[in-house]
Amino acid sequence: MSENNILVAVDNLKKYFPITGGMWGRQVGTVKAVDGVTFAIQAGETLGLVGESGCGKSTTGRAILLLHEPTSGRVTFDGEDLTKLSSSEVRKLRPKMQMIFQDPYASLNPRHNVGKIVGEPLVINGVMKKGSQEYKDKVAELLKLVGLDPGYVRRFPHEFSGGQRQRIGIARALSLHPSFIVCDEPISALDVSIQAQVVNLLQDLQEQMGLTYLFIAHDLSMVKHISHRIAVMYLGRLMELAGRIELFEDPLHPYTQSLNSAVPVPNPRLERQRKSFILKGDPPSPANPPPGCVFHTRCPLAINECTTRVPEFREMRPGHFVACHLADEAGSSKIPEQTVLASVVD
Amino acid sequence: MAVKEMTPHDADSLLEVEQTFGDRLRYLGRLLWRDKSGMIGLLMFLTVVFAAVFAPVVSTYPPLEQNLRDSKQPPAWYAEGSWDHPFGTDNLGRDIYSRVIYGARVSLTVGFFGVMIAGTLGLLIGSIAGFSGGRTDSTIMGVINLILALPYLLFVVFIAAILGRSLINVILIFGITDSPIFARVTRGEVLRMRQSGYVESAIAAGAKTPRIIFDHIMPNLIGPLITLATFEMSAMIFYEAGLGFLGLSVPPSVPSWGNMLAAGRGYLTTAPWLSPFPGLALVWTAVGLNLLGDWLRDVLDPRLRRSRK
Amino acid sequence: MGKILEVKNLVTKFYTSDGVVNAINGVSFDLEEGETLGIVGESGSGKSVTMMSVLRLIPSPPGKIEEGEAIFTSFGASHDLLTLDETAMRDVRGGQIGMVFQDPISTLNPIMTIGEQISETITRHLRVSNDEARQQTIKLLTQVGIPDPELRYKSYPFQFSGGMRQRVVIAIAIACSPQIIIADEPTTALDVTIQAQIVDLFKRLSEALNAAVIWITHDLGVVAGIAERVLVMYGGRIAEIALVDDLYEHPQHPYTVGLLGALPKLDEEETKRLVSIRGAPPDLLIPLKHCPFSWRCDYAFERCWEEIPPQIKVGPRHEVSCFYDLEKGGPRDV
Ligand SMILES: Nc1ncnc2c1ncn2[C@@H]1O[C@H](COP(=O)(O)OP(=O)(O)OP(=O)(O)O)[C@@H](O)[C@H]1O
Ligand SMILES: Nc1ncnc2c1ncn2[C@@H]1O[C@H](COP(=O)(O)OP(=O)(O)OP(=O)(O)O)[C@@H](O)[C@H]1O
Ligand code: SF4
Ligand SMILES: [Mg+2]
Ligand SMILES: [Mg+2]
Repeated sequence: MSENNILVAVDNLKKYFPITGGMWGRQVGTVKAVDGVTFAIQAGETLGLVGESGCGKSTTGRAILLLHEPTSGRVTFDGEDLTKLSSSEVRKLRPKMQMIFQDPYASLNPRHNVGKIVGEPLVINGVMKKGSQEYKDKVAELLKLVGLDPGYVRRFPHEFSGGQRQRIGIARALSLHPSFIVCDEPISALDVSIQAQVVNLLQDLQEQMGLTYLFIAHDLSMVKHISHRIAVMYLGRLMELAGRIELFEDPLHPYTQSLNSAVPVPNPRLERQRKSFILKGDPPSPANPPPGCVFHTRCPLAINECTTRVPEFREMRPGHFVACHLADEAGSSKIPEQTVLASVVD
Repeated sequence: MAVKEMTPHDADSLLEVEQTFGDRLRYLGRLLWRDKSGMIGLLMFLTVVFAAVFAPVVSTYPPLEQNLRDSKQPPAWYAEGSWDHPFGTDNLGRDIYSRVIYGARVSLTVGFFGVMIAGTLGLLIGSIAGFSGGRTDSTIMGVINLILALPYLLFVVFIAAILGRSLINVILIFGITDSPIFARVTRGEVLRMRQSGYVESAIAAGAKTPRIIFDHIMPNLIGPLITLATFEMSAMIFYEAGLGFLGLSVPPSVPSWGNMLAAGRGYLTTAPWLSPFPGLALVWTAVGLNLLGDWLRDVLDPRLRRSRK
Repeated sequence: MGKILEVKNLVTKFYTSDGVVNAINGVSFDLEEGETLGIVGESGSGKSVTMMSVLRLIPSPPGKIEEGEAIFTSFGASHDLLTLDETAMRDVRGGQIGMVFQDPISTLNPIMTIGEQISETITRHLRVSNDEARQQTIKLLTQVGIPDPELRYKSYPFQFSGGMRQRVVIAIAIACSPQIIIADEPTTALDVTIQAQIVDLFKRLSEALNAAVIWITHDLGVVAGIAERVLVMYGGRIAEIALVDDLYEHPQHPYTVGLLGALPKLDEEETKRLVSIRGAPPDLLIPLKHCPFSWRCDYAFERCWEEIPPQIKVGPRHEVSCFYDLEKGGPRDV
């Protein structure tokens, strides 16, 4: 991986949210939503970010775009450390980094028509004057780009289906020619047949415009389809990061392995033979993460060391990072075939 | 381009919608027609507004004109009553019908200006709390929750007793004491919107705070606040009458429904028709406003408008 | 094996202020004893309304079951659930037919302990003493994998995580040893690792009870693992119904083909484009006189725009609502 190809880099990123209580809002605790995350995304690449609900995926994406002020750590975009810039300098950089949101219903202002939604970033940045011919052409072009009829400009979000709304959101994100887009679960709320439309659109756009994506999802199979590399997150930390094929065929972290085995495959014959390790219990709360390896409370392989010492996120093989004490070349971190763990107290 | 267009068929079935302003008005009319209770509420409220605005025309006597010879005349449908005074007269011979009509003026004035003041203050305080967040927010919310925890009527009666009887005082009392409710709703909406994708994407596109407030937050606040204002107006009109009944609202000479109720109290046995009419006017106004509010809540929320999957 | 449930030509509509929603437009299927039937389809295709109609839980107004039968055969006696009187129906619901819904929060009463809720179901349907019901409840809690059942008996729903709540709902569903368990998207709101726990639990319980299961979902992966037969719904109709292997290996309806094609292949080395289905599903407010898939279909020909395809039998236990024969590559002779 050549260093100078890197577009976005995150170094030991942390984002803590205060938990306030009582009438006067005293701080009574801290949610460690993101707790020391490090990765880099190359230009033109799609990095998938997967993990269970509440593990901090969206917070990571928002912190990279400085929609959340990071608690600590560095976010580098195109060689510049965003955390060191003034707010007006950040504003100048914003057009280069955009976001697509999970909820196609809440992410479009219900009182603005499609033209206004898609054209707003242009107006904000003074790229074009609202109402000018150039502006109208641009909006029409953006709508066409995402496969919508330009005649829809005067219509309102509630008149569209979920998939169409997601296209409007994509058109809005593209209006300023960004180079990097955080896609926060852009297809989770959509039906299977519509998901494919949106995923294909994102891939086409990447090819045409050389876009770089951080693709957040909890659907592993779709992430595997769209990403070049995949990062697995658990309770605010990265557990593993590897190329898409390697992550699926040779996962080193026990969490990745169990996640992999928990995903049902749409093939009845395979599904019948498949042996799955079923994880015990629920993920702990990020307000009170366990000491040591955050996964140790559910890990079938946990040893004593896991309960006390935080495993380092280290590069086991070129481009394959893992945070597990057991990970080694001998395969000590592999859950043995026959360990089909019981989920129930029988 | 590899992306396939939708077929015209889908587009038409998904998107037959109103476009021009006229179409939208007609659409509102259709909504009103479909929801009969909203229509009834609006009509009930409009009659009160009409009575208040055109009181000199609609009434039959000046509201303050005394005529002791005709005092305590029963309503028209009593044997001794006459259509001269359809609702009868009070102990000073004043025409009850005309006084009820003029009473609408006091009630609506208090309700309208009270809500305006409460709404403006609440909008300001709530937006500050919602926007600044952190310590400022929790302090403001602490104070607001404290005020809202007080027994409201007792609180109002207390202040009214101190300030003395005048229309301005009554309006100020309601305007100020009711503002926490508006502030709380505003803050909640602001917080919700601040986390919505459209505000975040405006920030991500480089928008500055004023743009976000005036382009995204304010327009979406109008609906919930107007709805709330309708309900609060109805409550204020009721409370004003309550204060009047206790002798704490406008001076007794002013024809107001509360004052009339209070005056009627002394004559429940000898002239029992004194109290029901202002009471009915009060209920009429409150029911009208509440029906209207329920309807507005649905109509002003664009998300509820024929949204489709 | 006998048929335990036979649904014939079910039609359900909603009379809303926007117009008449043609939610279910003639659905027929059956369920064998002890069998697991998966129902898949996109949002709004009528999966929930079908089951709610059978259980007569459609909110009315605006909903109305216009036509159809739902013959439930239990211990040799058959009844039409759609005409059964309400008292008998209440016995069936939660008794002979157990139910699990997507959102456990709305199923559980927030102010009753979970123990009370389970034993209440037991005492309502079976003639047992309170003490027996309590014993039974603790056994059920153990069965569904809740640790420390005796302690947890006194917990309230809010003290449980989403997965644990779903286990409680499952305990209620199986409390009276039902012959059918209907589960409407029981794992949709859960994370994959928790979903795997619940699916596994469900498989073992239904086997132990020898109950038939109707499992509604939009996840074609989950269905492949749990169902013996699969019903694909589209636009308030059945597009295809077949044994699970047949459906995944020889899909006969263009919609099923499209759905399966739209899924990413887990074993693919190179990322290929997904095959997407163009356009959007039908607006149920508009009554259709032709195939509801016609404008999205690559195989549509004149007849598809003129008639609604009936459920055509194309093999043993395989029915499809389509005029086009994909295997032959031309119109069907029907
Ligand atoms: N603005 C906020 N204030 C306080 N806590 C927050 C805030 N945003 C997120 N959190 C908390 O941080 C944690 C991580 O949240 P985040 O939204 O990043 O998770 P996620 O991985 O995106 O989950 P999901 O898959 O549900 O979207 C959660 O416990 C959440 O409650
Ligand atoms: N109470 C109701 N009033 C009006 N329409 C309704 C009502 N309940 C359901 N419908 C309509 O009936 C149709 C079928 O809905 P149903 O809930 O069965 O879909 P589903 O397949 O279960 O979808 P999902 O995957 O979203 O749960 C939808 O178009 C829906 O809008
Ligand atoms: S009936 Fe015709 S339009 Fe409908 S799915 Fe079959 S081939 Fe396509
Ligand atoms: Mg998220
Ligand atoms: Mg449903």
